[in-house]
Amino acid sequence: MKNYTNIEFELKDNIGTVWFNRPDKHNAMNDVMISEIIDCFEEINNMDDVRIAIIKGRGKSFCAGADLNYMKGIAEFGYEENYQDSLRLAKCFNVIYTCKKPTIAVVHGAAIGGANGILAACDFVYCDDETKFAFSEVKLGITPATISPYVAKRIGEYGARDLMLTGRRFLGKEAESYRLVNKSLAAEELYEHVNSIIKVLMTSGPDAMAACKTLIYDISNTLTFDESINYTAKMIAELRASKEGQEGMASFLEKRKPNWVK
Amino acid sequence: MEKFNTIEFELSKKIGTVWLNRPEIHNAFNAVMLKEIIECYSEINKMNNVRVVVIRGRGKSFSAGADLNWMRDVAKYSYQENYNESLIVSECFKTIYTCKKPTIAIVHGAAIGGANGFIAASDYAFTEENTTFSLSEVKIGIVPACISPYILKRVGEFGTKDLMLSGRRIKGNEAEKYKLVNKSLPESELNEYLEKIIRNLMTSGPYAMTSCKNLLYENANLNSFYSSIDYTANQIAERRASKEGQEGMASFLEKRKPNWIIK
Repeated sequence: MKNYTNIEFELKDNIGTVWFNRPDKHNAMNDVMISEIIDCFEEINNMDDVRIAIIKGRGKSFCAGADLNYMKGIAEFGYEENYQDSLRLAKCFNVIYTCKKPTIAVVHGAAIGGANGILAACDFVYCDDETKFAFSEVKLGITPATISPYVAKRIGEYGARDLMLTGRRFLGKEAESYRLVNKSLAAEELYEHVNSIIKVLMTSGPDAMAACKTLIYDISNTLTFDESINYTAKMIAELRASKEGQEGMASFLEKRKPNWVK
Repeated sequence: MEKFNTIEFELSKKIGTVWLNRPEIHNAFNAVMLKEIIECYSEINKMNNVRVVVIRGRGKSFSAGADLNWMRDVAKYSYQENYNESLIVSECFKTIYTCKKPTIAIVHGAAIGGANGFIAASDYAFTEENTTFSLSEVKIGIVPACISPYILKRVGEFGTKDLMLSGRRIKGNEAEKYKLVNKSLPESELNEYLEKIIRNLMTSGPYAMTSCKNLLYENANLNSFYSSIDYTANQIAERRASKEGQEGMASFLEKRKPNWIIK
């Protein structure tokens, strides 16, 4: 893995942690940071020794959203350059959403604007009860455009209308009730809870999890209901004949652990 | 209705109950059971004396999911045979989902893996609080493929990811919170609650419920938002001119019970 300047990648016990690392700016995202996140997640997809990817922020906040100096500056270039840069931002959320490994965002402090695209695109999101959330884009005369597909998937169209039009601030528990995050916990319980989920994920078949993410992606985004009948039959036919599926079912019937569990 | 080997069909007071009946192996399903369920629901669609369908399990569990001996052996057949048997799984859930009568799953004990397809594809699912649910397929290196369209409809994309990637066990109340079931209740209250819901469904027009299920199917699966405008206008135009619609509106205006109410 390369060395990055705005993020940091840490690998330990088959867990890859992506740290947002601009604590002096509350981890606000600029063009360099966005490119580094894309690069890092592309690398993670190719690393067999990473079974789970986690995103966290260094310092007081998870992330304050887009760095407004960069946002304002880029708009002064021509439209084409402005558009290409915006596409990179959209790609950043998409690369997290389509990561082949299960992804977990661990959120604390503040998650403002675009920061919510990072967390909403992750498979699991856990936050500290004190975290402040806001979709404050309309307060600045812009829109939460590139994050909206992921936020709407989590909180639904009318939840999105509520939070995105008001831009109001809300805390962890309300984020949980809107389903923006999977669970909000007291600060002292957060890491223990994340560790318990990691432990559970480590007993799932790695190929099966990647296939399961493809399944959920296709059912959610590309297939009609009628198409899903043949597609899902094909998928289970393939997976149960696969090496991992055969090992998994054999281990269950023989009452032993499968070979991917340490 | 024919006699079945792995399920049992019971008809009483216009309620058809489909009992999963392999209690010695916690109602795990194989191809035989799936084919019997498909046949049973197809018959139910044609039976005018069935107004509501209930699916539940005999013995300690609702269902332990796919019979793994069957799953493992199927994979040793040719790919085509393996695929054909997989299609039976998908067809079974679709048959429940598209049943013309309202369907209710009553869940107790355990609902593991594929068992959640019977639940999610039913119109209503009610469970005992102490039922254990788990989408545990990834724990054995496979995926909850055939049930996924229905789980996704109930739980949403991100709730589905949570339950399917972790395969973690949850109890009835958390299943309710995730909307995998409509309601979770103490064991002692479940049957009474079921009776209440059935009483309510018995006062709905039978054809109106069938066409309402059709309406929701089309809007959820086929219509774009734009095409739904014209489609829904057509639906109400037809229903209000129908015999049942005319009787229902007349009974309301005349302050009497409609003729489909069982005395």
